[in-house]
Amino acid sequence: MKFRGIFCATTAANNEEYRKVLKRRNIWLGAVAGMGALVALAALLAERRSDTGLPDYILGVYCGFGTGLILGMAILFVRNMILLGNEEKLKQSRLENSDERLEQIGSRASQSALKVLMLVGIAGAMIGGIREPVLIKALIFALDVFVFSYLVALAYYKKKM
Amino acid sequence: MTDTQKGADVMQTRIAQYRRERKVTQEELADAVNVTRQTIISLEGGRYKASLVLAHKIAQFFQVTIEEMFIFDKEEENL
Repeated sequence: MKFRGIFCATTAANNEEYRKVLKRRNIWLGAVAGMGALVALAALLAERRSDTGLPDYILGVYCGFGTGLILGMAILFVRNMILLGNEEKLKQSRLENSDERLEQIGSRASQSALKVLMLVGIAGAMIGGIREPVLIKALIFALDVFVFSYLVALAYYKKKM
Repeated sequence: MTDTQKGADVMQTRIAQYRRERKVTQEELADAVNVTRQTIISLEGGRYKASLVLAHKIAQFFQVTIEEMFIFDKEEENL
């Protein structure tokens, strides 16, 4: 079964099928926005209490992250609602989300962005690690996660394809 | 990139020719095979290689075989 998520491509063959996909996606958008609200609320509550010992900066990051999730999901929700109310836009969006060439372009763009991210991350951690050794630890952790995920995905797709 | 690799990234097709003969617009063909018009333009320009499924859909749309629609260069594919 093809993995489906909020930003994933679709195999919907007509507008009716795509309409159902968008309605399902809207439920997920609501769930993610709810998570964002919980994170932001927790950060706001922690800020009011003085005994948490968390720095203001971190609380600001959590609050911003939660608010960002709410806003992002709200924008996607409104966009989906506009699409659901306009047949022509719905068709255009369906074709863009099911087009194999656009899917390949997205995949290649992601690969390129990942390479750049890794290069910048490694260079940043190696240089920054001179002053902040925690950056080296973070780099090693990130590389471990990457290699592990890669091997799991490799084994999965070898079996699947 | 070697010449062989460059060759493998493109594939000539007869989509434009068949489209003109049957008086089908790029938009109509794109709608029929569930892709964007830009993908049809890329296929006609030889900049994109269709998947087997898309090749099959296009060939079926024009009621021809895949070999008739897509020009498979054995030398370029190292065969």
